[in-house]
Amino acid sequence: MIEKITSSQLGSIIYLMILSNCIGTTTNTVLTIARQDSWLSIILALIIGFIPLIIILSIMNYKPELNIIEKNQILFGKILGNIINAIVVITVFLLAIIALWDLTNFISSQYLYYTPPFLIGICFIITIIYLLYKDIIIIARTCFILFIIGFFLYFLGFFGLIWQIDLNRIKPFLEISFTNIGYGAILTIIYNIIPLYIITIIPKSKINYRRLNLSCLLWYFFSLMILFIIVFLIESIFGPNLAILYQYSPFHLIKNISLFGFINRVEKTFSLRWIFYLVIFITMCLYFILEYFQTTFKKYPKKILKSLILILPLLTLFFSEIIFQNNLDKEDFTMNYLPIISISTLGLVPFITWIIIKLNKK
Amino acid sequence: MKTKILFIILAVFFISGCSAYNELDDLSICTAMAIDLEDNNYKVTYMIANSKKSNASSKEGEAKTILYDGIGKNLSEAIDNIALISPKALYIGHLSIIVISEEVAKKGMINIMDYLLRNSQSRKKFDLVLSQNNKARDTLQILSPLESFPSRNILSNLKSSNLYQSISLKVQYNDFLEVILDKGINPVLSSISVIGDIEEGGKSDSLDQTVIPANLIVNSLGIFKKDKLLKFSNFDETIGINFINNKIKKSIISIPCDNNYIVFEVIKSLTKKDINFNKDKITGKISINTSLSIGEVNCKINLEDIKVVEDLKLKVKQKIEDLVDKAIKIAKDNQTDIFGFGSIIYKNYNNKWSKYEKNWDNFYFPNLNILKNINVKIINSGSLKRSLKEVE
Repeated sequence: MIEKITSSQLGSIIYLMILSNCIGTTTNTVLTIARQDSWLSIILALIIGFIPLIIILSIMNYKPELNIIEKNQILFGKILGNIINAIVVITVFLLAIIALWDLTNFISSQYLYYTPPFLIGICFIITIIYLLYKDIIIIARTCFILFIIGFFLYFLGFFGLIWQIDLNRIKPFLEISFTNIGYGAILTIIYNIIPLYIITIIPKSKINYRRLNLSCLLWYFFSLMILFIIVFLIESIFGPNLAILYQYSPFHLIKNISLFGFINRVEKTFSLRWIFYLVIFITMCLYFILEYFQTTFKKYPKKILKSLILILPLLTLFFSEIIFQNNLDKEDFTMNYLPIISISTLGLVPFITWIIIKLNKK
Repeated sequence: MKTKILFIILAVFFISGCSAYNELDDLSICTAMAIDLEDNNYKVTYMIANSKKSNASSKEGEAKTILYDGIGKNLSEAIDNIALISPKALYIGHLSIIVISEEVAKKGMINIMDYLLRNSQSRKKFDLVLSQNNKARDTLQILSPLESFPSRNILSNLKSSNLYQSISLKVQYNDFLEVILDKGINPVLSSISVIGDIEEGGKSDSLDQTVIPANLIVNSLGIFKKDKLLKFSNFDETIGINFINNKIKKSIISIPCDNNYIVFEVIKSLTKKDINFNKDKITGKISINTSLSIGEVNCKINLEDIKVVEDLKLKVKQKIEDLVDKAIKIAKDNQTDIFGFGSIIYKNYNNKWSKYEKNWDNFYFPNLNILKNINVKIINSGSLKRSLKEVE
């Protein structure tokens, strides 16, 4: 019997991918834009985010035996399809580079101050290469295990922090203009929900798809609720003024965790989950690119295609080392350029694909 | 299989945890920090906990700390200069308290706060305290027979005076910064002083004596306007401020009677603040509900008489009102809203805040009419029903 990805494994991929950008990007930008009303931005993102998710699911439902690369080639024609695929792949590669930069920068700035980021990066690249050598089934299974570990840490952290909530800190309500709240919501969708397009690389036939759509919607809702709680905790424990000062406010927040009065100083253990999330995000991005090469360049010898498993992660590491000079550069890029790049590729392409699918059906 | 082995071998080299490691022996673990001003330069003192003595078999109560000083135009420079003296790398991950001198606080706290907030090594989980009448460095010198480190001694002092007398406040770095950055509220900070001979108090021999030559004493609150210290309150004003800010945990209130005193212990106190808008006029409202128990009666009164108890309640109420008035006066005189009435307008009546924002501290707060509603409840009379003097 062929082993398939279960819906909970796919759900955990969704969960890890949505929360992967939480520490480095989403909280920083959304809190800066919507300040104490950021929690409203997340709720708004949760509601609007159903649209791209439904589009992604309906793309997955179309020709279940094919991956998105093949679907694009069929729907847009060979030439245009290849061009679109190439553009999407470049964006996904960019996301992987940014995520790896985030990962190494987080670790080198908060844990290992004196370790060169390249060394930190290579530790994770080895893991990612190993995962890529395995099939998507193994990646999905790993995701589910990491989800369980991550959620356990999150749950403990939540109970260590809930007592410190002060609702006064999120006042005044709606002081920030609705435009800013809306912009915060759009950025959340761009950073956390639109990259879910990457999961369309998994042909639906590889998934045990009994009630898949409902399961994905529920996992999505669950993940966004977790993101909402994280943002809400930051605001109600730090207050907006302090929250926007920190580079990694969720990490500084978990420094406040105190369990049973004697379990303190656990931030480094508890923040492991963000490392897991980012590793999985990078793995999924690179898996997408590898599948693209394997689908588009089928005629090339398998050895060359296999060697990409080694080359691609190393290239990601190389580019992640040179892409940003510092975190200020990265923040400027993710706030001003990444949304445009992301929306015009990972946002627009699935939308057009979905329209063509609908038209084809008619 | 070969690839797997290759990966494992690579992993051994890269994930060994040996890269850029630091041995504990190579670190100077800093547990407290004092910041003074000297010739307009910052003088930073680090208290290093793991001095050589601690590794040796030290006697119980013997000092295990050492102080290192550094002077510079800014904090980074001063700390860098400490590194020149210290034979080991400085580590501030275990910093638990920062003592700031009056002069530094008057110059502005923001000048010194950025460094510690930006430094990744620091956990930002340390307490802040001012030194009153002494240099901040002096407070780190004083040894206590009850605590191994002076830093622990300061923290314990602050904690106990907060728990049992409600004089001090345990203010963490983040909380202090949050108030500075907030609108319509200004911070207060506890202070400590040294009483006795500072030089003698720093010597480990002093711990062998029954009477210690120097002690740390928790003093009144420092009142700030944004990040600058304005002045220190006195004892009554401090209790009043803590009553208004709902920071009273336990305290005592003495009422004169028959040339002596009857003492009440505050068991619980809850304060609520609000703002009332009446056309263009705003009024602040303070409502205090205090539960007391009788702690000591040194006069001849009949505690079983309801009228007497009612009269005592009235006197306590009057006393609390006096304390609150004193606190309001010092805040108004210094034009600094340390109670957060402005913050209540900003947070709860945000559409009206823009009118007051610019001149809140300078004009609106000093002219704010504050109504007080104080309720006192005597919940028990201790182990005795009547006063000894009455029975006598």
